[in-house]
Amino acid sequence: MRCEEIQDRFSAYLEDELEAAERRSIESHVEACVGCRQELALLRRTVSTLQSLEEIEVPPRLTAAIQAGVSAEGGSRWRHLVSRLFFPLHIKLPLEAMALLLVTLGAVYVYRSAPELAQAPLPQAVTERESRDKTTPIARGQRGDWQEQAARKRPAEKLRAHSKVEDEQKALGEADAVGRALRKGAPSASLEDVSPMPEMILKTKNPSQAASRVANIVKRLGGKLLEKKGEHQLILTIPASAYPEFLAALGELGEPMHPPAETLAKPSPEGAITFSFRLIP
Amino acid sequence: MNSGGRDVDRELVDLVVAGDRDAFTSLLQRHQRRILNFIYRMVGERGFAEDLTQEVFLKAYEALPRFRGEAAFGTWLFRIAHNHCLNALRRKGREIAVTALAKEPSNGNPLAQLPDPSAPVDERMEQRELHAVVQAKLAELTPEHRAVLVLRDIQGLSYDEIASALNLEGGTVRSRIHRARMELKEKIRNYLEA
Repeated sequence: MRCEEIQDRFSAYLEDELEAAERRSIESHVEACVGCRQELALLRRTVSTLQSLEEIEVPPRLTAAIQAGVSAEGGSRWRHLVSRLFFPLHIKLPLEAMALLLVTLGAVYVYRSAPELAQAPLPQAVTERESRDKTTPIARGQRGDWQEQAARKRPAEKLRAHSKVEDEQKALGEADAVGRALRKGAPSASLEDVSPMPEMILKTKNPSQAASRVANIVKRLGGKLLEKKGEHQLILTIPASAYPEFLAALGELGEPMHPPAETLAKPSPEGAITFSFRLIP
Repeated sequence: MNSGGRDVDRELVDLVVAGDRDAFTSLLQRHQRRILNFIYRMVGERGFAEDLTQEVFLKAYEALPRFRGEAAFGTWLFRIAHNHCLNALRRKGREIAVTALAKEPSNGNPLAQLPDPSAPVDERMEQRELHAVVQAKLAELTPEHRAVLVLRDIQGLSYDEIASALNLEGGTVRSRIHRARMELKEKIRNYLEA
């Protein structure tokens, strides 16, 4: 047999698995061949070194951890999930902490780079809208609770789409602005302060003529025509104390449409009311 | 793993399946040392080996109702441990054993203690140093070669038990063990001849 074939049988020889004849054949070759004798000695020492490797001890914490895991049975699936999520601890915990940090930073970045997110209406606005849909405008006006409702809204000035929902959000935002102005009792509230503002609509036979008369009524009551937007839209401010008289005068000009004049405000003893006044035929 | 051991294990398994958790503690105490050491030699890092050992025993606990006793319980455990190690090594890359060993503290850090094979003869390696070299070079073998050497030459399993644990034919086990030994021998030749 060649040296290579002899050496291929070394493991079996060391394991004492060979037939007597093959064993004698190998022994006689090794006795005569220095190279194979050396290789057999090296292999024998390799195996003996492996066999003499010292074992490590089982730390008590490992036994305790396994027993705790078994005791948590009944929550087998839970344990499996926990094991998958957190083990091995030294690998997964740092990864999970890093992932959490990245998600947080990402959320902050998106929030700060998109101002409309910060100014979007709160979910309760939808609830409020649904509530309003279930109530007739007149009934709402009779309750006189729009101030409290509007006060809870956040203005959504930047939302300019023309969908119905967005229009309603806009209306809510305008109501909020007036609510703030009324609560503050600020007669000098500028347009910027109260914009967007609520709008009163008056249906009248002759809008152009009525607009002129409304301006006169406002002036007579101590108020002011702040701005004239086109022929049929006025921006008005009047003392809150004069508000009932203003409503009474309007009744002679036409029919208040939306929102009803009664719901525009519950005048406080002091301060002024600023609003948009639109006239339609 | 004598037949008496298998019988005791089988009785304990039956008790555990019947709801006796204390019986599992007995199984754990009988086998945890061998499983931990097998895994340690497979992955090379003690902390990682402890994590995997815990997972192996919990996995075995869940699988106990499906244990049919066709192999000895200990062999069955080695099979679970072996598969778990291979999966873990695949996930983390096979170099883990080598890199992990390089990071190990002095207690169980063979690479850190590797002597220079070209050192003068009068600085012959002590047995502990040779162990360190063997562990480090063992980590350089493929997991398949490493597994048969650990099971045969360190854990002392028979060829049949290794065949059962690794789901291999007996002839494959024999040839693989021989090739793994020859490969390791070449890797530590300089240290053995020094």
